Parts: sequence; C-alpha cells; structure tokens
Amino acid sequence: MSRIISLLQRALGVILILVTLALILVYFYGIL
Amino acid sequence: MADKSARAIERALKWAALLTLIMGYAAGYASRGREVLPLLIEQLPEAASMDKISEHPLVLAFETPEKGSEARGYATISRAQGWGGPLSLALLVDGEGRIQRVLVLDHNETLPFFYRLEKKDFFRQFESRHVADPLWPGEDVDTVTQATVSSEAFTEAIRKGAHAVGREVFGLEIRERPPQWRIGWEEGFLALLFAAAYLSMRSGLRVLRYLVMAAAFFFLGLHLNASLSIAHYGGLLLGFVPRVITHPFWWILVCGALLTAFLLKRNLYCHALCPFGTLQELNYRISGSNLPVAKSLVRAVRALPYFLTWLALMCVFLTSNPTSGAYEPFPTLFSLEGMEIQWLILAAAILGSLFMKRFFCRFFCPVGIALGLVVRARCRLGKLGKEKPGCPE
Repeated sequence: MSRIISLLQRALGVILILVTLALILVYFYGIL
Repeated sequence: MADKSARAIERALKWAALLTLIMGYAAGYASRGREVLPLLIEQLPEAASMDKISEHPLVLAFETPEKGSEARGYATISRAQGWGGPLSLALLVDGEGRIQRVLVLDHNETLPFFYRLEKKDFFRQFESRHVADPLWPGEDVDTVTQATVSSEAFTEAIRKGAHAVGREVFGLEIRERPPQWRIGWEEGFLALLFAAAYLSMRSGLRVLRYLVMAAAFFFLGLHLNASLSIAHYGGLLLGFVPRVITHPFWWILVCGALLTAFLLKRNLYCHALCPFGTLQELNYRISGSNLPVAKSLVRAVRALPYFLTWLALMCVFLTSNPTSGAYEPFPTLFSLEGMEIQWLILAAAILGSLFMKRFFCRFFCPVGIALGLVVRARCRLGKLGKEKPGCPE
C-alpha cells in the first residue's frame, strides 16, 4: 500500500512539473 | 568516462545557448525601429488628407470632411520610456487645442499593468484637456496604483505630444519642466529591505528573514506589484533603461539585486525579497504536505529553468520586447489582471507550491537563474584572483 502511495506521490510531482511546463510553452507559442 | 562525455555535452549546450542568444539579439536588433506612422494612419481611416506640420516632433494636420465644422484636427506621435521599455503613442487634437483621443501605438509594458490602465480609464482622463495644460502626475493627472511607472511614462509621452502641438500649431509658449529627482519613502524602504535581507542572511536569524519576507510581500507584492522579472533583465540587455533621475526605484530594485549578487556573492532577492517566493513558502507550510521529489527527477529537470530562461531571452531579443519573455505569474497574481494562459500558469504554480517547497523557484523561475549566474560569475572571477572562498555551494 505504502509503495503505491509513494508511486502516486512521485507521479503527482512529475505531472505538476509537466503541466506547468506545458502551460509555459503554450504561453511562448502564443507570443511567437 | 560517462561523466566526461556528459560534461562535454553540457559545455557544448552552454556554448550553443550563448551563440543562439547572440544571433537572436542580432536578428532582433536588425529588425528594430518599428514604424509607428502607418499604425496611426491605420487608426485614422476617416482622415481624407494628412499634411506634415513639423518633423521633429512629428505633428500632422488632417481633415475629416464628414465632421463638418470640426473637420480639421491634429495628430502627433511621441515616445517615452516605460517600465518595460520604450512606448509610442499618438494624440489627436481638435481645432481648439483640446485632446480628443490617445492612441497607444506600441508599448512594452507588462500586460497586466497595461490592462490595469485601460480598466481604470487612465487614458480617458486626457480627453478634452487643453494642450497647454501641465499634464503632470499628481498635479492634474491621476496615476494608477500598482502601475505607477507605466502611468507616469504614458503621461510623459502625452505631455510631450500635447505641448508639441501647442507650440507647433497654436504658437503657444510652453516651457517643459526639467526632470526632478523622485526619491520618496518607497525608494528608502526598498534600500532598507535589501539591507535587512543581507543581515538576515549573514546572521542566519530566521525571525529576521520572515520579517523581511512579510514586509517585502506587502510592499513589493501587494502595494507596488513590482516583482523582479526576466523582462527587467531582458530590457537591460536591450538597453531599454529608464532614467535614474525619474525612476530611481527601478534602478534600486533591478541593479540592487544584480549588484548585491555580484558584490556579496549571495542572491538576496530570492532569499527574502521575492513576494512570490514568500507566498510559495507560506503555501507549503500551510499545506503541511511533503511530496517526495525523487533525486532522479531533480537531476532530470535540473536544466529546465535554464532552458526556460534561454527561451524567454530569445523571445525578448527576437521581438525586441522585454515583456514578451515574462512568463512568470507574479504580475498576474498581484494585479489580478492577465491573459488566460497567465492565469493558468499562476494556478499551476500555486498548486505545485502546496506540494513542493518553492515549486516555481526550483523548476521554472528565470530570475533566480539570472541572479544565480551573476553569483557564479563573481565566484569564478574570485577564484581567478585567488580571493578567499565564500561562495555558496
């Protein structure tokens, strides 16, 4: 169980970073 | 062996980044000097004819036959230096010397600041004003809080244009006031914050750091909405620098952060002065969560803020517009104005900060990268000069 939670936590970290990065790239796409 | 080749790749990437930035700068420089006269003509489709009255400053007379007795009007184009760089606007003046409309032709102001001016009807206050009026902020012009520097810059351009029409068309004798030093409590308080941030770093006193962070949050964030942005450093590299006599606050903030990083080998701004950094720390503490960030993930995204800083600077250089690279969410947060995508970036940054300490600073912030590079450059210089160590790891 704790292993699954740990995996989910890690996945959340990656998702947060990727989503923010994607939004920033969309911003630049709009500018250029 | 693997380490060696990784370092070689890293070095090659650094050089490639630097070279492409130089090329981007050159390309942007070559296409600079946007013609604003066609923009004015575009905005005046009703004008049947246009005659040049003077070249410097540019004053034009135009006829709009369908308006009957109010057919003749005058237009002028004037410029000033704003918070984000140069701005150009046109003034339309009627035959009696009253301002009819202010048309912003080109500007580099941070968009949330500009939206704020429009929302507060800043430009409308000039309509029906006479070209001989002083048009001076705080005297007969109301500036907009949290966009004070932008309001003053637009006012300066409007004043220049109005007075030019007054002199060239109506033969009025209007004397321009010489610029005056504008140092008030805000400049003093900002300098004090830098000193207090340094003390908190040197002494390691947490309480002092929290006090400085709270003060900077209210002062730089809520009161002035004047967070440092990559737009400042992009503007500095483009040479879009306001005069120190009229914008001492800009100089203390932008050059203060750079100089302290260089001289003290410490990034004081990110340590205690950034309002968004404070908000993120607060979020993290309130949420109480501690999302484990795998070392492999940190390693994998180590280059991410560098890449984004490069991308932001490329954008700034290619467009010759410092604010085009400003993807940071700070202005949107503190002015509550912005484009949809800026709101989404802000939401993602705040959400991330609930789970990871200083989420935006660690993975995305270009200001931290810029100031960090200055600290590293200083440390390298120190090593060359066999200076005593004192550089952060």
